[in-house]
Amino acid sequence: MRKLRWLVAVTVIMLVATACGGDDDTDDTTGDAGGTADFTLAGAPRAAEADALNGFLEVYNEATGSSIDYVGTADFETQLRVRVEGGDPPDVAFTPQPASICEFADTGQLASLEDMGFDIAEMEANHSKFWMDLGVCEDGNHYGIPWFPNFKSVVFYHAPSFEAGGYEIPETYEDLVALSAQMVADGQTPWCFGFESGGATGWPGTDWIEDILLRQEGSEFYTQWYTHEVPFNDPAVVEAIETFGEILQGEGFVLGGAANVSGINFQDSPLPLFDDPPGCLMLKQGSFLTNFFPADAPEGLIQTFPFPTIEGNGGAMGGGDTLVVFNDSEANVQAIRDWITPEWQCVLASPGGGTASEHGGHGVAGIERLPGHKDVDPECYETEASKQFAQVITEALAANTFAFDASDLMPSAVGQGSFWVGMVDFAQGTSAQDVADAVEASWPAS
Amino acid sequence: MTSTTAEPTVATTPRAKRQRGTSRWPARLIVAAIAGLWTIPTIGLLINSFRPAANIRQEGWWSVFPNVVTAANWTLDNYRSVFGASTGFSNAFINSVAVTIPAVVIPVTIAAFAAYAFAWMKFPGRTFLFIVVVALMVVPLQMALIPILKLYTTFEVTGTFPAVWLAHAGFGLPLAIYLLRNYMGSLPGAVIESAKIDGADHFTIFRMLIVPLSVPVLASFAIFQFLWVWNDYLVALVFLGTESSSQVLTVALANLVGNRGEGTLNVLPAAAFVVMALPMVVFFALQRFFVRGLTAGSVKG
Amino acid sequence: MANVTPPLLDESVEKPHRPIEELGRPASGLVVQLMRFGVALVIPAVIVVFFLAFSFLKSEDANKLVQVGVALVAGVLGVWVLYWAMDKVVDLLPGTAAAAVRPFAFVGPAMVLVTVYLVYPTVQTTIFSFQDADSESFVGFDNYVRIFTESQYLVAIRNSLLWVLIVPAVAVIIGLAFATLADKLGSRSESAAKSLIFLPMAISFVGASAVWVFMYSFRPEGFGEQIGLLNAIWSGLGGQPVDWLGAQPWNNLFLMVILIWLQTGFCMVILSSAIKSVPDELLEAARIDGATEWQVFTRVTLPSVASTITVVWTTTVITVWKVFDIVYVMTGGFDGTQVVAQQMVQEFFTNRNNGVGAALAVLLFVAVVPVLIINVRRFRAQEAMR
Repeated sequence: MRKLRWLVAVTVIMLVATACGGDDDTDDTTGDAGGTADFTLAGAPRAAEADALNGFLEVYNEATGSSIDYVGTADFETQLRVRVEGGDPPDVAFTPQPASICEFADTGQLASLEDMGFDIAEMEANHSKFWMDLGVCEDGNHYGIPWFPNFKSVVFYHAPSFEAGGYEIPETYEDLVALSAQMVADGQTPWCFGFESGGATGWPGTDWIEDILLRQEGSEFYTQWYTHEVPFNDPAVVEAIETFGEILQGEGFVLGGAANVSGINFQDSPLPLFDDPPGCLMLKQGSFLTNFFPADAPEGLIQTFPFPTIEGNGGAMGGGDTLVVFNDSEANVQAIRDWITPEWQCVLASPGGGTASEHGGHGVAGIERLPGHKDVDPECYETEASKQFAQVITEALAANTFAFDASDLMPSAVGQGSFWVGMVDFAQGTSAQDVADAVEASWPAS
Repeated sequence: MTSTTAEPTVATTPRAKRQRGTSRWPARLIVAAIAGLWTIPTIGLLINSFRPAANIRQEGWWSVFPNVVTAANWTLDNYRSVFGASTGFSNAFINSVAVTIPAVVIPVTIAAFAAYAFAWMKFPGRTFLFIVVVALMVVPLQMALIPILKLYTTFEVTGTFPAVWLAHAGFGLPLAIYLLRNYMGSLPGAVIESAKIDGADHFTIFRMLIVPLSVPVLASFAIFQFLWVWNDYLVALVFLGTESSSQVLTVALANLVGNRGEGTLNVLPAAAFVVMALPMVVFFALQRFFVRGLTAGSVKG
Repeated sequence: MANVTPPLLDESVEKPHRPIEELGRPASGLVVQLMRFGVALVIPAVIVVFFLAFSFLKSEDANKLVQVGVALVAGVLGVWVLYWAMDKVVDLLPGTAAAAVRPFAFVGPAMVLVTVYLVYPTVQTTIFSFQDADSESFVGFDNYVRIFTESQYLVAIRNSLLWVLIVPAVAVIIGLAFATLADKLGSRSESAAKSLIFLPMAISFVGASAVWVFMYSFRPEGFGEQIGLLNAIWSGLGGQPVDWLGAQPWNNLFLMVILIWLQTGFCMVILSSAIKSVPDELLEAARIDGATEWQVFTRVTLPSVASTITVVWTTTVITVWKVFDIVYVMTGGFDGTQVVAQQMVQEFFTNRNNGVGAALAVLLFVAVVPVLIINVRRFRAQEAMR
């Protein structure tokens, strides 16, 4: 018993000492009003992309005296939702799924752009009205601040083969199909595909449908499509799926056959392009695919051309990250204002900031973030591919023709569920009509 | 108390020397075969953790065998990423230790007391309460995250260590109580009766008699709880947070894998092995407690 | 052999198992009941609150190691202090009251924690299951109707049942066999062998997924070398590469293998200590009587460890019902591999449908009832010898 008494005494003394000694109850969770920003930015990117963001923030912190850092999280959307519903949201976050913005706004924890003093008209001019509108919620206020996009209307191709075979970059989709048939006739396999992605298998297919539908029907219909003003099994949508089928299910078009594409991991899908001779000659994917190229790939081996037009319509489709603000202290808002300007987007653009950045770059090799502001100089980028993409995107933003990835805008049951499954089914032989019907049936009632 | 010793003596003859009644070789072969089969997947992971990412994509891990000594086949880059500056490894390691040890000790202690009460104390509702506790083993962790987070935010304790300890304790108690109660219930009543007659109260019996006798099952549960908490990702992520200073190891290492899966094949294996190192040490340390032969006729009532 | 002192865990000899009574009659009455609840609830609650007042641990200023050191010591000691304090308080009560109240002092903290962390979410989840997707209005049994009529949930239920039938049985059988055989080896080999079987448990689920990617990876012809072991062996034997995780319905079995690989260590460890407690004298006696090894195993060892087998099987069944990570990471529930727990998380978090997600959770709660009944019967039998 004696020992125990001593233990208790010691413990109590320690507890009292610590409770008195370290009484920092008030944590510096909010930025000083009018002072410098001090918070942790929350987002989805991790690994090298996270390093790039932190590199950017380091440059920013040095220039402005703030102390902001960034931490990425796996399953970000879910985690953000848990935190928001649990009452413990991050100060500032950016999300790849604009559809969730209004859900967060409904909890009353988001600050609106109107309240924070942003000039909506100016922002619509700079970042495209389409993107700004994605953040408008029931009360008519804007809650999302566009930051940086990615670009998906891209076809990678094996340049030497094109030269050797005398193939021309197709301008229209019809040309693309014809080109594929030509390649088959010449004994080549035109396309690589890879749908597999663990729990997200099927998403590459959705990019095809989105690009095709955008061009076939225009951006108004596109909007009606993802807002469910037209049903998913509208004949126009079925037609778009069938158009995709012209390539996916073309005779000999796809390496390994359409039925197998759901078994090929999308990260592995570009590998045949690097074989000698290449296993396939073309692959449509997002601009981030370069992250999965073999490290020793020769520069210029794989080049890109924009996804061709249909009936004369082009388009730029991609996803993007949109900022949302839970804690709108002056300092935080000021930081965000800075980040979306061309000056600071240029720093985030490339490792060195290219030739156009006033502050250098983020310092992480191999990562380039496309511009979210129409005035970002393509010379902020260091690779030819990124300069091209940047050009296309800034033009699309200025002209309000940038289309956001529809599957990120649909309810998650569809956009991260039945649409993906539908693509897998389509690849394995289900008819376009059946696929569209199934997806329509899964659309949540509310 | 009569001849009760706190430490039961081990079985009289060392096992190795005893007649097994049959030759050991069939057993050895089968054991070796099963153990080998079990380990092959892990060996693949280990080998791949030392290979460059490009190689892993292009060829299976068994392809290193013909060229084991070729330097180009191997790399420490994956481990460098794990220990690298951006991970904040040492900080995360300390956080993991700070989270895990109390999150093991607290539930083991609380469950031991409760299990003893369920097994050897008489009070109304003991069967019902015990069944409820066991039934709660099935509650999925994910269901509890948001309600508990709301609770924590109301009391402003999110992000503190005790918040995580108690969460882990709460989630681990049903299994603990179940395992411990089953074991304690099979201890000999005669011993405890005689201790009672000698005037000991429940607390003393618990401390002096039950706990020493239950060391094997306490150690077993401790190792399971240690593994569970050490490898846990969700509870630490939600209740402790993602700030760089409060990340545990699993959270810090999850950030090495890119959003579209970059690094899954090369960095993740290295991370998995690094995280595994400490639990294996703990397992070996505690193993002597639950492989030791239990009392065979040594404690006399 | 008649003079052998009964060993501790020999379940084949039904020992009387009576809970011990304090000396003197236990008191009853309202006051005592109140004191019971008081002790059981108030003291731990107060100390928990005090515990949680450690907000200084949030601050970045104090030296990290000092913080952690104090946290560790306080966390570890705190619990012992709590019980010691409660015990002293109970001692202050008059004898008969003390006897009635003391069990609640022992059980109290556990009950408090379990209520806060498990019962409260369960109650809330059950309420959600009768509400709509946003938990705003009540919809009666609609969610339940959905999960029992829509095909994707029916597939999930079918799969989960398969998992529960196959995985615990296989894990327990292999664990038992391994423990028995390893018991015959020298202690070093035994220790090494058991560590190898236990090793997968030390790898977190995420690490395990990487392990099994390297086993099951599939690439169609022309996409490069196989990096998955199974396909490498298969194509080495002349076959076409197989999409192990894509080919229904066998892909479920391949996923089950992963959980078996992970769980067998748990079963083996617990069964191993039970096997070691079977007294050698009994085994020797059987052998001397002419029994074969198999008979020794089935007639002496098995009955002795029967209750441990039930414990291990029960725990594994519950683990299998809750399995989510494996399915989520490896296949995302596609290709007909969905299981109830994974669907629940998907509905709740991805599809943001609280109602259906909660209904699936309640299904999990209810599904464990048969297992509980088996356990209750065992307890009753064990305690019937009063």
